[in-house]
Amino acid sequence: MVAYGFLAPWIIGLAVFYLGPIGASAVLSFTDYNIISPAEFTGFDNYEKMITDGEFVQALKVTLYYTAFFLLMYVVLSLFVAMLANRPGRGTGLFRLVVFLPSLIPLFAAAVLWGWIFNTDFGLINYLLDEIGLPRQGFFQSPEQALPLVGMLTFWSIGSAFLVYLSGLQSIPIHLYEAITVDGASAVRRFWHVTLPMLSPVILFNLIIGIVLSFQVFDIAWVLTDGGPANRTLFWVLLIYRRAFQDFEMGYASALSWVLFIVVAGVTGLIFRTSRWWVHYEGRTR
Amino acid sequence: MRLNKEMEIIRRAKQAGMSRREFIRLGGTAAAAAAFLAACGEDAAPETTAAPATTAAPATTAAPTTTAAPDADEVGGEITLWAWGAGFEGEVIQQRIDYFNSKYPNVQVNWEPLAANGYEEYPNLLARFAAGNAPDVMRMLNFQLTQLTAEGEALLQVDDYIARDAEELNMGDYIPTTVEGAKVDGKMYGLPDNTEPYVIYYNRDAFNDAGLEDPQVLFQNGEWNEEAFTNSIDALIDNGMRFGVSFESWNYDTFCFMGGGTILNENLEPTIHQGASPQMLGYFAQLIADGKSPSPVVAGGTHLEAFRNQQTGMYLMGPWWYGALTGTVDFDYDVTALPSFNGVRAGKLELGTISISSQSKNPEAAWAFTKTITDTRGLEIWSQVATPTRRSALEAAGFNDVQWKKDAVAMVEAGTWTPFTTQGFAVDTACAAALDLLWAGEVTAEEATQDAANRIREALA
Repeated sequence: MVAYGFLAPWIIGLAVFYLGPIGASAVLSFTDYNIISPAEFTGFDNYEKMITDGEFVQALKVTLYYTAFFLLMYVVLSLFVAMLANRPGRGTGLFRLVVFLPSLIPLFAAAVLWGWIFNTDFGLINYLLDEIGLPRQGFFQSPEQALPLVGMLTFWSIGSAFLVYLSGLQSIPIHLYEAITVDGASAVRRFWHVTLPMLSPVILFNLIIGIVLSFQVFDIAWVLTDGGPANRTLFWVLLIYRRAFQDFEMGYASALSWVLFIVVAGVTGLIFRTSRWWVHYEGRTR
Repeated sequence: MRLNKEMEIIRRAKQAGMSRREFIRLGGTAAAAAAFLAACGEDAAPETTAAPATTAAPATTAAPTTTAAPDADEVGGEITLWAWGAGFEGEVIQQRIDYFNSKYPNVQVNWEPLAANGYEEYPNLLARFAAGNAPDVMRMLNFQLTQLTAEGEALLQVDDYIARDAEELNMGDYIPTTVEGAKVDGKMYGLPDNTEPYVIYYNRDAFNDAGLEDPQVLFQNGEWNEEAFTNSIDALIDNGMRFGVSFESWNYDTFCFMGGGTILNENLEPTIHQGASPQMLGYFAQLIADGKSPSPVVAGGTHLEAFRNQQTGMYLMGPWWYGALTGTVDFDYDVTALPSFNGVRAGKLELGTISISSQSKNPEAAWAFTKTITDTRGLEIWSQVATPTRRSALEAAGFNDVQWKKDAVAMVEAGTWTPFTTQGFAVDTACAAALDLLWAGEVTAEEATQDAANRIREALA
């Protein structure tokens, strides 16, 4: 009983501030609710509405595009950078610091800075392009360039993935590399047959985290583009925000949230199911 | 979409461009504009666009319990005030409360300053209504009246109070457009509190250097029109200014209004693709295409800085930045009305009201507070940070002594707005999504406005 007493604050907090709202949103997703009027049960209308909601379709496309871009940065590029940082030599410490430091800066604050740097008319980048005689770019004001640019800027936040990779790389037993090197393996084969298998649990971790983060992106779009231009950066969570707190369609926003949860959970579950074929756990299969 | 105010501004800096939310955030803390109406002899006298009708809503009637206003010392109890205002704006709100208490000493006003502005705190207000714990008196943004009345009969209809206290209130003293902004379906749901028009800031030194006539003089002579505006842009650029004029994309409705266009009709059907709206949007898009204006799809505050740094000779914005620029620029600047297009002088008007909750348990005190802080003296106090809605308050605050304030008030007289819907920002976001392609030069104004009309229909369906 004493243990439960100590646990009570946490359990109460979980129930009131997490489980309660989660359950409420599940119920609300089957209603028409604008906060001020009583909710009206509408069955699956909110879920059916998504099929014909052009902005939802657009948000889905944008989010999937961004997810692909983000995973490339977060899972693949950060691995490459971590391998560079894992090589001994002068300046390695500084290199690690430079890669990791940006992730300590809130993305919200960084986004404001990027907005100025990439401003079409008054930004630093276009000024430099002018100086070297190259054409100015629209950047965040361009319907074609805005989303790829937002994706590229996520390089800023690879620090956490980089750190996990680096620790994973440093925990690979050196004798494995010595053995395969004695067998005459090239650098590519060492990477393919030692580094990747030994790092696969870390890759799985970063992959799952990366998917969750990419589906939840909000702040960078909110600050930089607010979903524009022409909804080309309208992310799923930004659409939920608009529906909930600008249009006050709480029922529909709840339905969007639940579908998002189901999609993320489904993708995550799928990755876990396939992981038995490509993730190597030292000493056991899983 | 959606301002930068801080955009105090900054909805914001919302929206890669100042959103209305951001805008209000800015406006809320900025010094205000405005002045007296008596229109300064203008050509086709400031043609005032008829204020749009608002959407139908169920009436919430709570008639006053007395046939005559009770004496001040008979009104007592407590009321809660829902209002935002930081810094000096907050001090001014307290001054208004003190003024009220000087007349109604038996009423305790509990003001809980909001952490953010009326846009960002609005969901919290709705939650309080849902919980039956709504404040008695609220500082409202005009679009919120429609939502609150249509969706939940949340606001007290005050026509009966106005009729009872007609002599004291002198409703004819209000600028008519501001009274229309306090109505839903023809019924009053509050008293007009403040109003902000849109104007043109201009770099007077640059105008002089380019040999241009002063826009204020042109406006007074009835010659501040499309031709003069266009000539000014060209001359400023020819004389070395990088851009002739700057504006933000979230002001798309202002552009339409300027030439007599509209966004929605009274039946909430899209009209942005009809009449003068495509022409006006096309005019501004062409300025961008010709390099005479910077991209309007920017974060809040960007173009203010461009004006401050003399990158642009004119800036279309509300007058609340006038004071903020003082002492921060090394050139002479001023403000005047928007130029007329198609013989029409009109612009967007932002309106605010003081409204009473239908849940108020002390409506008599709430009404006393509402009418007192919006009387001449109450609005004169308010004029320190906002443009008051009574002509007598404008006079009392000396607004008619300054030319730019006169010009700004002329825009109040000529102000209009898009009919409000219960769909929040749906119309704004629909238009922004469609018009972004116009600003990027990828579609024509006709194509963009047709797309906007389709998106509006979908959003309001």
